[in-house]
Amino acid sequence: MTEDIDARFSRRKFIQGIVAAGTVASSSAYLFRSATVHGQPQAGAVERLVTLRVNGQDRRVDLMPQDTLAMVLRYKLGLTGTKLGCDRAECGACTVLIDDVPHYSCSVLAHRARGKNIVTIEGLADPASGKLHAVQQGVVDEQGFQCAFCMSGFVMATVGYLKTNPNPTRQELAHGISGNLCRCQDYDKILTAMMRGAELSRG
Amino acid sequence: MTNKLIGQNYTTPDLVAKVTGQAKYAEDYRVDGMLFCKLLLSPYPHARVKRIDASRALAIPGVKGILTADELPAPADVVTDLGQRLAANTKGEKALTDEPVYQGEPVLALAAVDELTASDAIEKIEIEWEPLPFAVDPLVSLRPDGPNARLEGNIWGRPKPPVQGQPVAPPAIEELKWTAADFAEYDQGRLPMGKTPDEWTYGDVDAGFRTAALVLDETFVTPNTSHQTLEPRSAMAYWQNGKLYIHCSTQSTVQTVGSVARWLHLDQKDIVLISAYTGGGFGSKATGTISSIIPALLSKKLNAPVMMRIDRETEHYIGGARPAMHGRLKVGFAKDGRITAIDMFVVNENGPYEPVGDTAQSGRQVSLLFQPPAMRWRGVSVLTNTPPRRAQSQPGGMQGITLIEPIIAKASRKLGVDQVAIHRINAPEGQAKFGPANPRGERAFATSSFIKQALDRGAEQFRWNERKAMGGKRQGSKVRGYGVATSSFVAGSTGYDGLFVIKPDGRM
Repeated sequence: MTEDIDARFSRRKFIQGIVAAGTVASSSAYLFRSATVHGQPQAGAVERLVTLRVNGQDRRVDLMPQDTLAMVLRYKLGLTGTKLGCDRAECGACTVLIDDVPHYSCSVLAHRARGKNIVTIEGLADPASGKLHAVQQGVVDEQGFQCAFCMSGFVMATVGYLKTNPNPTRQELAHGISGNLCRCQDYDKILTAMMRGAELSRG
Repeated sequence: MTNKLIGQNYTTPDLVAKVTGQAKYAEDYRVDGMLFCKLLLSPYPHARVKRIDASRALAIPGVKGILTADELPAPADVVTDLGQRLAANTKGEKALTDEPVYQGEPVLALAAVDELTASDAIEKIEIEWEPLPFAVDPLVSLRPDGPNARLEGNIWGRPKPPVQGQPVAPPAIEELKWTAADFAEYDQGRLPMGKTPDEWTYGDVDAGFRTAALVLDETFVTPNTSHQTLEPRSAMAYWQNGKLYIHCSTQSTVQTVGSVARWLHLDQKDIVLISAYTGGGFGSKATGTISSIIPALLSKKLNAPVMMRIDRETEHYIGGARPAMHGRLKVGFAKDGRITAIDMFVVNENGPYEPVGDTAQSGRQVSLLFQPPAMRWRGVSVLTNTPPRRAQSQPGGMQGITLIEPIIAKASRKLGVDQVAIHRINAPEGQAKFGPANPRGERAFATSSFIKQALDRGAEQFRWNERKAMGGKRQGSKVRGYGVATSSFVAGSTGYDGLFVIKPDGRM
């Protein structure tokens, strides 16, 4: 499945796709509806109604080849908890889990996430009871974060890191989530909250 | 209230919404039929737009329209909290301009059905530019033949005295140049000290230096520090039943409603401003951001909701920065470290627009924190073709502290007085006075100050005596230094933020 996607969406074909699709392709990018809303589909249009598995649900979505996962989550699936801080893989605010591994969703093409299990901040709490995930509870317990624009990214990065190292030292966790930036420079308190989350995760 | 919160564990009302991704920041709102707008940014630090040809852009399917500087409402008068009317400053910052004065300044906006179409269309717009002289370094601008950032000059003139019954006139832009002789010191690495428009003195400064055991004269430059809020200042707007609904990012909703009302010539009751969460401001979003009126105006023109997503590159340009300050301080010390006099001189990098308050605050804060018995302060804020300068956490004071603290540390070494002790002996106490006297001969004062107590407790908790003994020693690949600094913050302005709900039974 993965190889199949990689073959069909090579860099070359990706660029060709954009050229072929022209303005029709662009006219539905970033919108959470199909292209037909803005007029009749034109010949040559690249329409790809695909299924993404997000937070345990299969979501049908109209993807353009150039759509990043972050844009699709935010503008086509209504999952705005994933934030765009820099849109260029610097700040980590857009971090989501893809098959349990933290990724900068601004720098992942949505097509590359087909067939994989995507988890965003909205998918962490128990859907039935609303019970917070241990890392979320750690934030509540320690009042981690100030403006919190970076929070979803930090929480997702921590959840992903704890899957590989459930019992980290403070230094290990700091290194593990060093791909996330907090402009309020609240790192010490964030680490305290994340360590509390790690502790709660272990039960 | 205090019993319920202070010393108790509680969950702030916003925290669960934030940690579950339910909290909505400005860019998280969606409205049916929402268009996207992109900004065309000036490639020049200073230029004039001579002609705009948007025909190729407007011909692209999906492009809905453009907004140019000549479609903006004229700058309006300001009415202060005290009811005083300040006449509009026509030379201040605008949302769009046909004479950009910094690289990256928004020149026009274009709306389309999606962001990619808008970006493509922006590239199809042809502009004929007339590049103009520019200055990015305040000292270069002060040279006898230096360029000016604005066509009218390089500094804001002093405000004219108010006339009874008339609005207070805005300051005018004037030209200030220093002489070649003034600049002789520049090559020795010292800040030249030509004439400045602003100056104050209290106490006998000359006597203070005469009696000093040590006099230090040092030049430092602080950096421009971009705010870089993690949430860029995106905004989304639409109109409904004659009211403007605007989603934006601000540190103060009440001050931003006032700003938006003024910028758009609207009555405040016709503005519904939604800013439930803000992704950082650090002073740059205190009274809103003028570019937030662009989606409001485009929405009115195109009769559709408009989202203006500010990307990181644009945020670099329009988001603001704390101004760099070039400073030279001459400080006299007695043997025990007590300051006898300060002579402070600053050249501030103002950016291209409104005068920034940092310049004057730098001197007042140094006066407050170190309580010199005599002090002279001179300063000038020079207009530059650099992105707008805005207040950032402890505006002016931060630069003043950065300029004087290395001198305090040096004096500590030279006099053999401990760094905590030298701060302690100069610290304000009680209702400490600071700055110059006003025309009635009164000096401003703090209502209380406990810096000495803070230094004592800080030194204890930091284990100062123990740790300073490790200072300067190599440990592996690192040499650590230890130092002390004090800071203050100017706060308090009239206004309110929050919501009172009065229920039908009269209870709040």
